[in-house]
Amino acid sequence: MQLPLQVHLSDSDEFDSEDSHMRRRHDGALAATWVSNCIASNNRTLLLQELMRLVPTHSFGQCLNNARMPAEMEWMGSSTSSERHVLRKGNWQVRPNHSEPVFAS
Amino acid sequence: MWKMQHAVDVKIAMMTRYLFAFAYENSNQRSMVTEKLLHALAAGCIPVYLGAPNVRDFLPHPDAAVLVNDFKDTKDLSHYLLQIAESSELVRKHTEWRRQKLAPHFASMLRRSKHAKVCEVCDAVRAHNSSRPNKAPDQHEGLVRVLRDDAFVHVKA
Repeated sequence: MQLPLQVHLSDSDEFDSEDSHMRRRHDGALAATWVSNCIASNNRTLLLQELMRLVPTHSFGQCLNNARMPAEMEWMGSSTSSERHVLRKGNWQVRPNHSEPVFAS
Repeated sequence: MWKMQHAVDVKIAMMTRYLFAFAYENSNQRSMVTEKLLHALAAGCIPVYLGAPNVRDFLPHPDAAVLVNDFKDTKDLSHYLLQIAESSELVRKHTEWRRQKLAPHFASMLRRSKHAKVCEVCDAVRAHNSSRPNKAPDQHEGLVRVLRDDAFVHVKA
């Protein structure tokens, strides 16, 4: 899988100005998040829950869900529940790394 | 694979509607930085990050993300995020890096992406197989072993 960053990151022309950044909100929400695993070792669910109460947020994952995932992405929930790929070395041993676990693992 | 890429594209396209993306990892393991952060950056969002304590090593600029651990509590963090939403100066502070040349450490990290790693694995397998002339080149056992031992674990739940 190719990181989409390779296309976008270095091209400043593709990014909007401060003004249009500040207009970025969807149905009143300033932030988006995708969380599928509610049982995280670092207390993230609680921390996110607190933050979502204070900052209008759309949460699309299976955890803390308050927004509908687009149909194009819904297939991932069922496929990843029975079969997962884990980057073992990427996850734990190599520095630096940037592993890419699937969303719903 | 294309379907996964399509889903990633859809996710990133959706994220472009938001000023922030909350990128909360499921552990605070050092160097455990996942796609959550990269997708947020790719979408032009300001990532709000919780996770690896050394995440700045993975950022294109120290201000490219808002780090949860820099704030004393969630209320403090939320105040700052709401301030950003109202201040073009603060938005500029966190997005200015996009107008600059990509930092060398970050560009180098992108070159060592998962995609590149898979290519490296395939190259290693090709080299391994070509060093064994009696084996048919299309045998996959070398690839399976390399993937099992060095890169991927295939988990059946």
